[in-house]
Amino acid sequence: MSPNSCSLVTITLCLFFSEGHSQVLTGPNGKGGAKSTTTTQPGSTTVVNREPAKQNKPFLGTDIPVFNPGTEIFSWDGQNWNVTNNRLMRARFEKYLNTQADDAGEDDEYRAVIKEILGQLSPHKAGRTHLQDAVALLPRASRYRIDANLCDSLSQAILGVYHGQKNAVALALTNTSLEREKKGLHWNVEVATSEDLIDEAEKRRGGAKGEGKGGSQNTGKAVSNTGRVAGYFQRLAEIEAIKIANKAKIGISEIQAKVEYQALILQFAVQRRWEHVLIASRIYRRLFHDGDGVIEIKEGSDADKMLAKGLGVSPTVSSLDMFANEVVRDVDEGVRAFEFLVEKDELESASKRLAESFFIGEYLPRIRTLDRDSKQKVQRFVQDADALLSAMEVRDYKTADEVVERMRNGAKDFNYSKAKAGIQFYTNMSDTSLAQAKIAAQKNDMEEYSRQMRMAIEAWPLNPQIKEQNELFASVADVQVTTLNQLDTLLSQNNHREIMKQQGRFIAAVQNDPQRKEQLERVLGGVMDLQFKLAKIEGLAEKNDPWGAWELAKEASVDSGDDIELNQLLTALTLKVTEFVKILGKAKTLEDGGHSGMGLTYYLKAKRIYPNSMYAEKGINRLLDDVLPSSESLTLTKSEAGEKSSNAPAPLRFD
Amino acid sequence: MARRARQGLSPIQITCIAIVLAGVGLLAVLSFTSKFFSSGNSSQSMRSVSELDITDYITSGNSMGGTVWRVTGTIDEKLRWTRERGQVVSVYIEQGATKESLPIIVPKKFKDLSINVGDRFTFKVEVAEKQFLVARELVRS
Repeated sequence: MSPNSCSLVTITLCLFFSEGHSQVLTGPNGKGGAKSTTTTQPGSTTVVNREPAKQNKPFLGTDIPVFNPGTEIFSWDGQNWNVTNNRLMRARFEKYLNTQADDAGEDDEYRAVIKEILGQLSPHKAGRTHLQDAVALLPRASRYRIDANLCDSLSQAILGVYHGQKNAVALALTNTSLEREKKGLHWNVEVATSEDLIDEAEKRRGGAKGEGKGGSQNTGKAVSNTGRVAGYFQRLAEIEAIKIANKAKIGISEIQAKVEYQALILQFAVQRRWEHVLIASRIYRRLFHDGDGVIEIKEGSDADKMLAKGLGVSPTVSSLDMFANEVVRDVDEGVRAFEFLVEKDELESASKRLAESFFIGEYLPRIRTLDRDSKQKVQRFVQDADALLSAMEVRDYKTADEVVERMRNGAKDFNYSKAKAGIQFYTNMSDTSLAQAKIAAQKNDMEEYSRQMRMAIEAWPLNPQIKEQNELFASVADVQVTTLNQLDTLLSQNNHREIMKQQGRFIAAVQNDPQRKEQLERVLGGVMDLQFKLAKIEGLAEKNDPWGAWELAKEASVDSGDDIELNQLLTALTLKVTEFVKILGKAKTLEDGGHSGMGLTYYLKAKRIYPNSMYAEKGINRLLDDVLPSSESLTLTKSEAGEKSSNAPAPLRFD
Repeated sequence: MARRARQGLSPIQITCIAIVLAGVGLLAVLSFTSKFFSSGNSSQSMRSVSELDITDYITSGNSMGGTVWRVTGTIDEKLRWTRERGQVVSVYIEQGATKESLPIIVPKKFKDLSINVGDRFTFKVEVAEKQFLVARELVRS
């Protein structure tokens, strides 16, 4: 067996045995058509088993695991496992790292007993009672805790074989006895047949002399002989049948004993009890002397393929013996490599070598007696490796990055580039998507915003910027909604001046609302115009022209009657020009009441108070147009009258 | 023999001058007389109506419709002038402490009368439709 193939087989069986011992893989594995799907991602393995119910599963017929070193996927019983990233394996290994070394004294005693048993079974040792001596030591070995009573099980199996063989011997003796009886019966038949011949000769010699009496006697004897011979034949047939049945029983008993014993050897191997494999396989040679060491497994089965492929020969007891020896040596080398690597602070390689050795030979003395101090050196690294895998599994790249940095500092040989590249890739992807989301939000493209945010979350769910962005977006959305509500309230209150004061907020808030935007622009334009008017009013008031200021304020109040500042100013100005305001009011009242002459008088009165009065001028012109339309007005009135019926009053007749 | 220059006006010249002066004087007397008689008629008419109490007018002019009053004041503004229908002037009136400008419609029939700002007139006015004051007569005063 080449070193490479040996290593492969070692790993294969190691993992197989590890799984067999540490995990119970249930689930059916039917004939063709049975399928399972597996999704393997970095740091995780998801197995979906869709196997139909298994019927009549042969022993080691179809459920032997297969390991693919390229993908590190371990398939067994229709399920797939990522062996380098299996939580149970990691947990088991971690538990081992934290466990104290076995009691060296007890372990040494146990190893001494095992060694003595193996020594007794050595084929190079002379004498005839070695098997009995070795078997006698088995109960002693089973007393040790580490043995887990496996030596007792082996004793039981040996006893079963002994009884089977004893039964076969008894059956063989029975057959021998039957053979002797068979020979006697043959003789009797021969004798009976020869009596008939003598009687026939006498009959021919005697002729007619005693034909009457003698004839009847001979006839009765012949009938008697015939019946006896028939009995002999019947017994002979029974003997033959019993012999065949006994032979069959002997064969079956021997095969059954072999199969049961081989199963025990394989069971030891499954449990990684390599020393028991050695003992059992060597006892096998002494129990079954026919030289047939082929392990009875179904031809062409997974077990057959695995053993034949792994060992390069047909699966035999000898090959298992050899394999167990190889495992013991491999574990010894692995532990020595571990100790060397720990000294050099190459903790990643050290932990891997120890893990490999542990999974292969968990119960071997080199593993059991390894002191905890040296194991503790890789414990932190292994814990960090587990933490890194967990962090990568849940895409917590911030924690993963911290763990990678810690592992880099602790282990010289830690290959961080793969993890680092993965962390960098996904964090960059998330950050880029976040940036794109912000741009989309600025463009008010909410669909793109959602898509980019989803991508960012998928790439790095725990990205702290996602939370910040969400909070920012929520606050912006809140502010926008609040601002728009405030704007609506102020608009309904016609509080345009307050809108003007907070115009910056409102302009920003209505950017995506064309209707409100137009409304706001109109309001702000009006407020700006009002501000201009107010400045002008205040200027006139300051220049001792309260009448002109009042008139401007009054005119402005038509469009901005709800403006508080304007109203306050108008009130103040009204108080200053009360008489003027009263006269204008009276003039308007008289005008509206149809007393145009008196109204005109009042307008003139107002104009005398304030010659530049706009209201007085307008009122005068209105009334003059009524009483004495100008030529142009008259012309216009006539032309309009021709086109349409004018509602304008006819000029006053006073000529 | 040199003739001695004649000195002074001739009787004929003196007669012509006297005739001219007499004509001018006659014209002046005729002019004065006609004027005196015509104004004497208007003043007579004006005196027959009461003076308008402007306070009454501006407070209860609506009950004065159709009445005729006399009012005297100074033209302080010509509010509107039309060729066809006359003009509206603002007349500044002082009645004791009351000082007001009243609008008075001057119909077209007074178109030949020169009415300028600052002229003082006495108006015979009628409180017409819509309480407008319409001048029925007016004399410069």
